[in-house]
Amino acid sequence: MKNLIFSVVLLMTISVSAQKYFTKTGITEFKASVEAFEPVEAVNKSTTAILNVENGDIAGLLFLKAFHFKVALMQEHFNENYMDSDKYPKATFKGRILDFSFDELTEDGKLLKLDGVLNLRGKDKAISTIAKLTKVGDKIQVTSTFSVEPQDFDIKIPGIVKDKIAKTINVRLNYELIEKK
Amino acid sequence: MNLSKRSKIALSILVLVILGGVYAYKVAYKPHKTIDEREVKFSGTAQDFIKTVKQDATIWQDVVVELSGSVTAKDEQGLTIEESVFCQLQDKAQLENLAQGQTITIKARMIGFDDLLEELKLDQTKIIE
Repeated sequence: MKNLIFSVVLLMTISVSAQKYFTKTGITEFKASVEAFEPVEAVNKSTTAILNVENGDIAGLLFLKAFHFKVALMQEHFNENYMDSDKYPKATFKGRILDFSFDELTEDGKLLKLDGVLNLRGKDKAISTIAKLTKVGDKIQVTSTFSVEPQDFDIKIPGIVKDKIAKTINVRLNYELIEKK
Repeated sequence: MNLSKRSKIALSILVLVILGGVYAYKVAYKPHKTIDEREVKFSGTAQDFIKTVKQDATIWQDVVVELSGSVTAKDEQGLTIEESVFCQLQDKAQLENLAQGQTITIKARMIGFDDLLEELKLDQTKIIE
């Protein structure tokens, strides 16, 4: 009897420990370019993302200094003047993919609602967008786009460059998640 | 040359403007510093570095480090040293000759401490030994 109870408890704990998919090298890009001016865009290829495939919870983390710009000086300005990366080194995201079901994922991709909170420079901003989830072999690919505005995070753009930086910034993510063992 | 005083002045100003322009362009479009051009802020074993970072993670961001330790995992994207130092390689071809358990020394840029996965994140990694 004792053994039976033990086995049942063991089985329960196994099924409770959530199954997760993750990446350490997710790609997060943003574009704030204005036509006819030097493109303002950067890519971060070291984004961490973890998806709980049992309930669709998703968490992301990136370091601002890992954003790579084509122009080195722009990268310096981004970290020093706009993002204050020494003080606020990370951007985090916590959210949920609604109606997520691992078994319903296909190779053609499924569009699902993604809701969450983006934290940047110590400020929270609610994000509501659509994510595309695709099953690629034993990986799950998550892609999505959303836009934010500099004032959402109290980022002040000086008058002299105001016309060269877009009012809305488009963010694009592309994460290839593998099973976390 | 028999130039009038005025054209001499105009010519010098033109030369200065061009030089200034070239200089401004060089400053604005200077290339990214490679990890070899930057100062190495920590050199030692990966285990010592993990301990050092855990004391105060805020100062260990965007710095160049040299670490040695044994390879505990590798995948298409990079390698892990001492279970909690994840390195993205500059040249992924360097991964092929690596075996798990092998002791290596790397030079890389420490990005920061990833508190979601509880590990250190490095990129631009070069395997030195």
